[in-house]
Parts: sequence; C-alpha cells; structure tokens
Amino acid sequence: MTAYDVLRQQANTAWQSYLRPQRTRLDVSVATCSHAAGVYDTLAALADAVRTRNLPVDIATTGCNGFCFLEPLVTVSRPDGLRVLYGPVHAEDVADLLDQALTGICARLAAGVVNGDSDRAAQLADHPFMKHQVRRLMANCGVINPEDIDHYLARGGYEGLARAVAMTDEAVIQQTLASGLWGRGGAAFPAGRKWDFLRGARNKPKYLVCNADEGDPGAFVNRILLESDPHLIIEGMAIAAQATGAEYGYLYIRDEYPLAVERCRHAIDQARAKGLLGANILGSDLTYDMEVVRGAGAYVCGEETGLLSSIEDSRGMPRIKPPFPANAGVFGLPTNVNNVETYANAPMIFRESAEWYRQYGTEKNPGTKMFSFTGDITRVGCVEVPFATKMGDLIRDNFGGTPDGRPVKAIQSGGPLAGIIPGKYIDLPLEPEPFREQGVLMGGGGIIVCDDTTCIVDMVQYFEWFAEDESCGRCTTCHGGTQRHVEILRRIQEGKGRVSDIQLMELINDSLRWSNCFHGQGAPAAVQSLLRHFRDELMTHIRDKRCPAQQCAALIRYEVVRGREHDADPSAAICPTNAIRQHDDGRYFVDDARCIRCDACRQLQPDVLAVTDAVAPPRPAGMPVAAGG
Amino acid sequence: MAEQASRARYRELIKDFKPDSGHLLHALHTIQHHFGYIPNDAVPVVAQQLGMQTAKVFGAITFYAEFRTSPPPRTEINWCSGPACRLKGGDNIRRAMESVLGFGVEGTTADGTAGMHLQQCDGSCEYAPLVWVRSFTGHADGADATLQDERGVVHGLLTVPAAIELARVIKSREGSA
Repeated sequence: MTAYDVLRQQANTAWQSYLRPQRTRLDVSVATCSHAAGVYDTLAALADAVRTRNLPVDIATTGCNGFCFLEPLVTVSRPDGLRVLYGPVHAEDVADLLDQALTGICARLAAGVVNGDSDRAAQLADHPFMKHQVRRLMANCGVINPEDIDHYLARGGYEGLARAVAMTDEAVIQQTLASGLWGRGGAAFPAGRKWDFLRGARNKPKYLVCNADEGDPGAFVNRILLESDPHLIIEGMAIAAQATGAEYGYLYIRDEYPLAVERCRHAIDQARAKGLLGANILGSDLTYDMEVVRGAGAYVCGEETGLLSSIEDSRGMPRIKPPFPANAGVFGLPTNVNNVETYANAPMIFRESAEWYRQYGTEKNPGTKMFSFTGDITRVGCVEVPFATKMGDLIRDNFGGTPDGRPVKAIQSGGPLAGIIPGKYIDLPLEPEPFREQGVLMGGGGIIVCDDTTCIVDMVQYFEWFAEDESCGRCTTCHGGTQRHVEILRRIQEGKGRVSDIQLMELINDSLRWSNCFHGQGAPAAVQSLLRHFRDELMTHIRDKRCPAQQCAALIRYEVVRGREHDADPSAAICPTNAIRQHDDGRYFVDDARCIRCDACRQLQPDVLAVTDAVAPPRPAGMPVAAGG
Repeated sequence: MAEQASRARYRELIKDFKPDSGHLLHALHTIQHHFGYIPNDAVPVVAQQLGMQTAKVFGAITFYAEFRTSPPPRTEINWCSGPACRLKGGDNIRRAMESVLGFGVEGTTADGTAGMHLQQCDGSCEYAPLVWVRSFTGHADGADATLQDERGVVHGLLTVPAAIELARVIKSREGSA
C-alpha cells in the first residue's frame, strides 16, 4: 500500500461516519457571508436549544456552498442517511428547525435535499440556483468541514498530487498543457507554459506564489474556495511544485479575509502533519512547504509584482517588467505567480485526466469557471459553470433577475479597472474573448449587475475614486490621472460639467495608458465605457444638469408632497440635519440648504416625501451654455 | 521605565521573525493584534529585529490601509465602500451617519471613543448595504483573532433611517463629538 493509500483509508473511515452519523448532526455554514447574516447568533441559539432540550444532536461547521442569499445555512445529517440543507436559519428559526427537521422535514426552511429522498422537499440539485452549474472546483464547498483534512482526502483530495509526484516534471507540465488550463486571474495565460518558464529557470531556490489578494470589490469567488476548501489550493500548489522544482510557496491572502487566513494556516499545518507538505512528500523526491502571508489592505498588491514587493518586507509597489517573475520574483529568485482558482484546477486534472477536464467548456476555454454575482439581483451568490455559458441565463435563472424585474442597465465584470458594458450585452458567453471584443475584461469572476435605478456617472466616479485611492503613487500618469478623473466626474455630478470635459477625459485616458503596471493601464476603462456606451446619460448631466436616475445628490432635491404637509412628523424626527422644518401653521417643508439628500425621509415615508430634479428642465436648443460651462 | 518595558514586550512578540524572510507583514500584524495599533516606539524595534531601516518599516506601515498608527476608537463603524453597497444606497448611509456623528470617514469624536473607518468589500453583498461595528475593548493578548473579533457585529440590509438610529445610539453611548 502506498503512503497515499494509507492516508486515504484512514480518511474514508472518518468520512463514512460523517456522512451517516450515529446521531443527527447539524452542520452550520461558517463563512464571511454567513457572519454578515448572523451565523454566530444561530450557533448560540442552536447550542442553547440542544442543551436545554437535552437533544442527542451534534453541531459542526462547514463552508459556504455559494448560496450566500440563504445564509445562515444549516445542513441536517441524520442517521437514516437523509441530508437536508436549510436556510436562512436565523436564531428565531432554531426552535422550528429542531422541532421538525430531526424527525421529519422543516418545509418552511428547506432549501433542498442533499442526500436521500423526501416527498416533502425538492432535491437541492433541482433548485433554480443550481441550473447551468457544473461543480468541480466547488464540489466540496459546503459539503465538507474545511478544517478537517480527512474530509478532503476521502473526497479524492491529494490523489492528484499522489499521481503527480510519480511523474517527471516534464510530464506534469505536458498534462497541464494538454488540459488547456489558463490563468484565472485575468490575463488568461496558459498555466502549463508559465510553469515551464519556472522549470527552465536556472537560479535556486524557486518559489511559488498564490495570489489570493482578491481585491476587486464585489468579487468573492476566491474567498469561497479559501474558506470552504483550503486544501484544494494547497494541493494545487504542491502539484505546481512538482512541475517546476519550486521549494517554497507563499499564499498571499488579503487582509479583509481573516477567516480564510485562519483556515488556510490550519490546513497547511494539517497537510504538513500528514506528510503532504515538507520533505519527501508521499515518499517521493518532492520537497515543498508553504506559508500564508496576510496582506494589510492594498488593492495594488493584486498586481503580481506588487504582490512580490509586499511579500518582501516592503511597500507593495509594482515593479517594472522585465525581468519577469519567472526569472526574478520573490527575493530576486525565480517565482511563479498564479491566482487561487488556477492552482485549484490542478488537482482534478491529475486525479482524473486532461481529457476528462476538457469535457466541459470550449476548445479554447476548457473547464469550468466560478463567478460571483452581486448588485441588483434577487439572489446574491457564487456559481461554477462551464466556459461559454450565457451570462444572461445565469442572471435570469440562477440569480432570479433584478429585484423588481427592472431592466438591466449595465454589467461590470473583471473589477474596477475592467470597464462596464450596457445591459444589451447581457447574453455574452462567459469566456474572455467576447468580453474583450466589447473593450472590457471578463476578469477573475466577480460580476456586478446594475438595474436602471443606477447612475452610471456615479458608478464610474466610484471606480475612478477606487483606482485613485489604491494607486501606489509611482507613476504620475496613474496617481495624477485618476485624481483628475475623479475631480472632473465629481464636478459633473455637482452640475458644473463642461462639454470640453469629454475631450479632457479622453486626453487623461491616453496618458493613463503609459503607466507602468496594469493598475494605471486599466484605470481608463470605466471612463472609456462611459464615453462609449453611456454618452447620453453623461451629456444629460453635463448639458442639462440633470441625473436621469436621480442619484447624484447635487442634481436632485427633496420636497414634501403637496397635501401631505402635515404628515411629516416621522421624517422630521429621523432627518439627521433637521432639514424638515415646519411653517408657523404646522405645515412641513424641506429646507434645501440643510438637506444632504440622504434619502432617510423618503425611505421612511415614501408617500410624503418626493425627489425631483434640482434644476429646471433643459434650456431650448441653440441657447448658449452659461459662462465657464 | 515604562518605555523600556514596552520595548521589551515588542521584542518578545516578534522574536521569531528574521531578516530577509518576508516577515515584515507578520511582525506588524502581530504588534497591531496585541496593541490594537502599531505604536511609534515599536517601529525601531521591528526595524532592528528584521535588519531594516526604520524609514522602510514606517513606509510600509503607511502604505497599507489597515495598519494603524494611533489607538483605535473603542467603537468603530466600518463603512463598506463596495459597489454592491453603493448600488443600494451605501453612500447615502455614509452621509447620514457622518451628519449624526459630526465627523467623516477616518474621523473620530474629540475624545477618540467613537470613529468611522472606510472598509473594502469582503463579498458579503447579499446583506448590502452594510456596516460592521467593531469594538476594541479589552484586547485579547496572545489569542488568535476570530472572525467575530475582526469583523465585529454586521448591520446588514441597512436602511438610511436604521443607519441614523445606529449612529445616534453610538453617539449617545460614546460621548459627544
């Protein structure tokens, strides 16, 4: 029996008793998304109820299965083999759950049956959120306990590594190339070729770096993997070590993911204890170990050379390429940098085969890709689908469309530096090329959907602000250009836009492209989208001083609806600036000078307060724009 | 004496970190975890331990948004600046809370007991718009920070009126601006 078989056999025993427990077990999904949903209250209520009722029930934890919209999630596993997912289970639902789910089904909270059959709840696989999905990377997410290496092993974990360590480095590269796996961070460079660069590098030691600095706001695909199946990334990096001869790895996780840091550190310790990291892994010649580095809040560290600087005891400033990391990376030594999801694909390619891997996706883009969708959609969460799946199918079926069925106005993929496309492109196939044709990037998997209540000028101002805030400051084109963009866009939002601003923004975009790294080079994308696809809306802001979505604070005002002037007591009480005041006769009015347009009053009393354009309707055509405009 | 004692404490905390090993972020996180911030007099100790110039350590501290150079407020509102929150009125929430509290993002009350901090999106977008309220009382020396310590209490699916009420409660509890 090989060293791997021994580990696997031990793990299988543990897994079988986990799957079919002696007594009922409640697996509570603990992840960053469930924390927001109040999972710690749920856990406390569960523990309390189990104790006071003296129930023969165990409580354990699992990761997130991507159903973020149903957090807090609880999976009930019973001795009869029935496993049912429930959610959302808030503290106040715990009594119902324990009353009904231990012997029958709690239909009110049931999301779906995971294992077994029930005539009272549908199978989880039939949930609309599971449509179009093929779960390979996410196979363990929400299924195993991410803090138990035996669960990972029993589900086929480290089998790919066991096969890879029996192969030559060249054969590992060949199989990776044959699978067609390319880097998931955004650049879409073939992983096998990148690994081959490192394999061919002369200097030693060689390093691996995993970029888990998932900084694109609104993206959380890497977080789901890091928190829910950390061993997948460790195994993937160990396979890359076998391919490249790297001896040490850094898993660089952003500061905002403390749970991912904790779970990955724990997983690395477990893997080392089982001989899956360290000297002579699984009895082979492979010697490889790794550690987690926690970032401290800097988006630009997601740029690969910024990441290297950050690991090396310094400010996370991107460097000038060449030299490329394969020649001079961490500490000036040969280094391979890949995204979390890139490494996470490696185990299955070696556990199964390159042909198996290519069963899904297209010839050019084989395999599956994880996507997190957020913004104006009914169900926020994370899915895994074959490449070329239509984005619109996911938005409509899986994510339940926009909350009020409003039209999709814009879609932002690939982060703040990637650009925005109008809603008419909703059915683009999810692969890099169609997005590139529209002048944007598909990117790492975070997609933000905006309905027609969105002001695109405001969103672009936000993305440019983000680019400015996170610029490392080296290139004047970048830190100065983004700053000018923000100034101009804010001025437009304040009703002081000029027609000449368009030319100015184009000029700034041209100079931004000369920045050293992708941060500055990508910063024009959002403005470019605004000029190309949303020019009418921009011109309405500039010429008419009007925000069609009525979002820009300086271009709207609030007023008490006529006939309801006596009804604004609650609004007056909530107003943070005392802007809702009374005439002597008791009638309320909005003191425009005090009003900060926070919308609190209208949210509280939508039939009493109304929002209108702050300026008069557009001047007749042909009339000159005011001086300075 | 007190100064020497704190220096000895810094040295003890980071004694396992070595020069040229990528240990700077580890060392700074360790100090901040124990003290809630990175005290000025810890900077030369870190520099000495890692064989670096003091200026380089300080340069790194100021580069990253999450290293603090002054003690955190007792109660801190962490406002999520992410796009999903923004689409759902996150910026309205910021303006309203700032009006109530009398200070802006990265500001504090005059006595430093309450503050507001800009946070980047962590992908809890199903509960957007949200803020999380962290409390920095009684730092657990030596213990690993948990998700709860790090993230505090999340106030999700916030309406502007609810955000105003929350800011008013914090303001009345933590004294005036």
